[in-house]
Amino acid sequence: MPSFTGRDIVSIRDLPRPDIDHILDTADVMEPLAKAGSEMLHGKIMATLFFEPSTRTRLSFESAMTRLGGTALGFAETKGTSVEKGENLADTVRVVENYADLLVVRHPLEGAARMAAEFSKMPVINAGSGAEEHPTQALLDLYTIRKELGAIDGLNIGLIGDLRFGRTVHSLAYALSQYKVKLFLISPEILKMRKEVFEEVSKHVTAKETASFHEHIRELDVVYMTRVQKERFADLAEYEKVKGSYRLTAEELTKAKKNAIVMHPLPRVDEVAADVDTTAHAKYFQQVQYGVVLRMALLALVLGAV
Amino acid sequence: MRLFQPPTRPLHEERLVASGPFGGFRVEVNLHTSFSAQIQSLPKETLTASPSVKDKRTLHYKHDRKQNAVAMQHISKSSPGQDLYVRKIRHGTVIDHISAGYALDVLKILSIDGRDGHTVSVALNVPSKKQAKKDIVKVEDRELKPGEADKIALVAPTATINIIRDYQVAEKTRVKLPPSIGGIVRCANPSCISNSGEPVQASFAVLKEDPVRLRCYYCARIMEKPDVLKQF
Ligand SMILES: Nc1ncnc2c1ncn2[C@@H]1O[C@H](COP(=O)(O)OP(=O)(O)OP(=O)(O)O)[C@@H](O)[C@H]1O
Ligand SMILES: [Mg+2]
Ligand SMILES: [Zn+2]
Repeated sequence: MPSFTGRDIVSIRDLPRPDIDHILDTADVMEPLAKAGSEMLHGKIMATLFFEPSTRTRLSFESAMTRLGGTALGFAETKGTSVEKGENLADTVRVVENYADLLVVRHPLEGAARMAAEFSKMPVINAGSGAEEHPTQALLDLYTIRKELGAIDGLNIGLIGDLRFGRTVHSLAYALSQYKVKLFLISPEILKMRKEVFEEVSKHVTAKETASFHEHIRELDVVYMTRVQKERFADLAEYEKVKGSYRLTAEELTKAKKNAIVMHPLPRVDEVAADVDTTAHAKYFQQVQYGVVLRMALLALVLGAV
Repeated sequence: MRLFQPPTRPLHEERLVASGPFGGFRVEVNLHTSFSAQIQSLPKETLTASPSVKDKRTLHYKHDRKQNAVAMQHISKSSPGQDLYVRKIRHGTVIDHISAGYALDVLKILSIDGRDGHTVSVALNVPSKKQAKKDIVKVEDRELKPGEADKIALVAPTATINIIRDYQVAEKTRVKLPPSIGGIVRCANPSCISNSGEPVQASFAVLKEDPVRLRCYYCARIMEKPDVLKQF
């Protein structure tokens, strides 16, 4: 495996399974440090370039950096920055790299992080670009599954809701396809996973596409919920109809396997009912905590501290 | 500007050859008729204004006359009953077996616009043995470098490149797409960073050649032949 020092983390597709496993193993090492704190990255600076607001992801990175003794600087939105004056991404990157040891980039356009990495002398971590890539989310999802269920291989994993526009599910599906899992891709017809993603993923694992959530819930080890957004529907009546069929309640969960876990990239609206929170299945807040740990691992790896 | 009709007899060379030492080369295809090309060439007087150009042309005429019998013989050998659509050239490159209707895209991909002074001939929708119809491009006094022509496989995967030396086919190769291409096509994804005015060129991994299938290096979007063709 090539060393992680100085490497860009742009797409989950750049990470073969041994690399992913190594990142997850490193996260295990980081977990106690998340509480105890560490000076591992003392003197290191992380720049967060968020061309699109995402409080959660940014805070998670900042928290990870701080817990390892490093510092963070950057912008959370483009308002008031040189970007608003028309500076392009390539220039922004070549300026900001001088302020930091690593760049964390979030951008509304697809391929933005790839391009940023091309221009930057410093390593770049993609914190979400366009509709398709969110590799650190996928990694933290894998980490959550491994922590909660002991292993990823052998599981039945359901991805539910918006599989077409949902940013996290593409990266997650690609990542999961490197493990020996069975995927249940559960969505309304118009929010089905894009053909090319489905084709790629089903080359490696069994992936079943279905519109019926409730029929399959009892088979699932992982119930990965996503938000079905109203904006995606031309016909509001259609939305109202569909919405209910991809909603998870505590009652519905009584049909699920005893150890099944419920995950969600958050924020949720009402696709996961509040009464699910108190069940033992709910792991979405746990997921947030694993996210910090996982990002600590990435920062430490890329900056050569482990 | 003159409008051409399908030839029922060999086209007189002047009607097909559009030379461009002074930037006078422009071809348009009218998609509504099976064979119709509008070629705008400068008046002959302009074309032959420089003595050297004039000399060259004279030379070609002479060679043509000398070689004509050979040319006709050659053509009737390879496609019986067919006429010579474009005259023989002495040195240069013949791009043959271009999928019918794509010759102009081929020129575009090769950045051949006639402004470098080479004589360029284009024949559209000519009958062929191997394909129902094909296009042919002949560039005089210029040998396409190996690899240079490969990009045209995007629109004409069946094309062959014939290097002509002393009227003979000296080398013949099938076009082949390189493993990755850049700078020819744009990404079909409007939210791709390569379409946003950043200082980068779209570039693609070639996943499949015929029909072509590309993956954007930046956004990973898959482009298929229709996506590519739309751009030409
Ligand atoms: N001197 C020349 N000037 C112009 N065109 C030429 C010349 N010599 C050959 N060509 C053309 O180049 C192409 C290839 O010539 P070649 O003699 O190899 O024909 P072929 O045997 O039919 O080849 P292929 O199998 O590729 O069709 C033909 O379209 C032919 O008309
Ligand atoms: Mg032939
Ligand atoms: Zn693209």
